[in-house]
Amino acid sequence: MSTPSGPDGTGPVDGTGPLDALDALDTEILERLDALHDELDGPPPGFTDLMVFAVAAHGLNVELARLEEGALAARADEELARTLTFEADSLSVLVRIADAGDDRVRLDGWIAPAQRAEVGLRTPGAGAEREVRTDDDGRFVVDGLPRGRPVQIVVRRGPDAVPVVTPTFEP
Amino acid sequence: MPPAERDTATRTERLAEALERARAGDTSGLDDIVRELSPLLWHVARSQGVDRAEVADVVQHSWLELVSRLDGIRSPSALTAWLVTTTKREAWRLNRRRQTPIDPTTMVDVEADLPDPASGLIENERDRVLWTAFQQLSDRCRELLRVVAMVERPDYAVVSEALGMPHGSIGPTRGRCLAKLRALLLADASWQAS
Repeated sequence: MSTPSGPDGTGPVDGTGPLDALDALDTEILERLDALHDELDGPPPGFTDLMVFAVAAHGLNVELARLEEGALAARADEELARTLTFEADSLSVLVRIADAGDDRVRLDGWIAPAQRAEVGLRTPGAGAEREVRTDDDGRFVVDGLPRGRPVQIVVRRGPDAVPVVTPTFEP
Repeated sequence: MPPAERDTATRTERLAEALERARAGDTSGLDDIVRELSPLLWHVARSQGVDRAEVADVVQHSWLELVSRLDGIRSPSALTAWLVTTTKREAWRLNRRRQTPIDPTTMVDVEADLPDPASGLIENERDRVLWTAFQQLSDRCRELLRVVAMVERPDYAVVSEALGMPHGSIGPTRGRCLAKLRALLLADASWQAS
């Protein structure tokens, strides 16, 4: 596409060309787009706090386990158990979330390769994390978790291994 | 100094200072970076078509990955660019995964599209005209402008590049997408009148 250029060769002369310097109208457009997107499709309350929570308190040396299967968000009408799989380079974490009645859930987890490890469950605003241990088969159980309240799993395998963290999810 | 430039200096300075603390191993520096830039990354993920319910997943990955990369990131602009690129890549990864059959028991309702400007959610006439014109742009242009609108001017160029847009697609100069939107607005009588 060729558009006539201004005398200094920096842009078209009609004032709407791509290469003109940004002016007050451009600034207005960008400011309105910023505000409109925040208003119509901005982050929900608590989003930033959740992000701060997800990275806080791990020190600067963690391995990230990615969600490979399942959904992090709970469904409103959840009756069937749901399964999530997280994969890090050195470890897989699988959790099965089952209704335990009374707005509580039971979480059955496995880590692979199977080994004894400490599993921490962190909840935003809850202070101390809840800790359980895996057995020789890499299994762990956490009962009576409040449904829908975000948790993050941290697996610690001893002083020589980097902790593995999952993203937060809603049980 | 005009307000826009003053804000810019403040935010860039805040990020520079927080980055220095974070790189020195102070976790409060990292917290401040996360507070400052999480809303931007929300919009990056949404502009890539990530469901609202899954943005937290995508953006958390970016933050957790940053933790081990802090050593190589030395300026606020480099930090912003790295985070935008990483979030876009995470969004792609999620979208690819979503294209494979999913377990219906774990399916989340797909959210409704963004509001129609006629729906009455946008009260200001100028905003309504702008929103209508914006929806006429290509996906690529909407993605670019949505994210660029969230950052301060010195970062326009670096963010455009981080999104994989041609060098200089927006920066000190206007760029094709903004020029198109501007032309649509200038051709609209109700924009001129409002």
